[in-house]
Amino acid sequence: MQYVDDPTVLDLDFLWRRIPWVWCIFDENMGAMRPTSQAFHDSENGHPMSVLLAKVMLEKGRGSNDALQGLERFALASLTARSVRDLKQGIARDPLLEEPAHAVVFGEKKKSVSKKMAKLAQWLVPPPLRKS
Amino acid sequence: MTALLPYSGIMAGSITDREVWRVPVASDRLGSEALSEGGRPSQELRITIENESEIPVWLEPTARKLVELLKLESGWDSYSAKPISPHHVEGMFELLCEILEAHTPPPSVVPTTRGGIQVEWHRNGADLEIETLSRYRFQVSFEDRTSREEWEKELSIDDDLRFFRPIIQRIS
Repeated sequence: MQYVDDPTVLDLDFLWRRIPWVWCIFDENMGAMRPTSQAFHDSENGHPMSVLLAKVMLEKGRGSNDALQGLERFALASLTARSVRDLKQGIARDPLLEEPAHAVVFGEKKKSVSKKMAKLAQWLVPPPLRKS
Repeated sequence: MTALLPYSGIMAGSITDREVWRVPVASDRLGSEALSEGGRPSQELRITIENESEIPVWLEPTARKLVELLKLESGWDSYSAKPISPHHVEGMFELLCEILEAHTPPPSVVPTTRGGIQVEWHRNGADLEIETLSRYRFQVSFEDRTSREEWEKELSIDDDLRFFRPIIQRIS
């Protein structure tokens, strides 16, 4: 499927990414927990990386905890659309029946791209602190 | 030190000299690569330390984490992630035994959606990530903020791994 970068997703819009706790690491250089680079790849089935459009979530009166509804041991991280586009990625709306805020981040995700996204991500719902 | 990794069913206690770790592995994850003992597929992932006077500090926490990850089921990322392959665990453990030193701090160990393992260190201003691509192949990524050295490469367990030495010292 061909995706086209959606200009109605503004650079300052936030993208939320669900992160299982097993993908949360302690970065001693940063002195903080952050997602591993593995959390920012396309899906194993070939589908581009899934995110939620924060603007759509909030318009529907849904917050960060709603993004994790039904999921156990997951954290929620946020990136700006601009930071993703700066890494030569595109953003396309991909609403699902069960999740109207669903979107995808498409484009080649070399290791360096995944590493940068991992370091840029900010926690909305952080994982428990774990230094190993 | 030698890591012997036939496949297993039960996790045994703490690591001591010559201790064996037995790790639960569903037989359907073993596939055609499964090691066999006496002509029958074994269902054990076993880590044996031989002739080791000093138990490496990274060994027990790393083994514990690998055991934990082997319990992940399909779709553990809420999408289509595969369960972790014992062959990848075996390969990673073999590589770590080759390149790490006794005092190397334990890495963070994370699963990959392809059923692999990634170990990573982020300390002393450096970042080192090693991902299994298969039982015998790995992708390595290194970044040193001080020297601005940054590279990625693929390697095989059969390659000359001596280049790791200064890198491992850097993150130790």
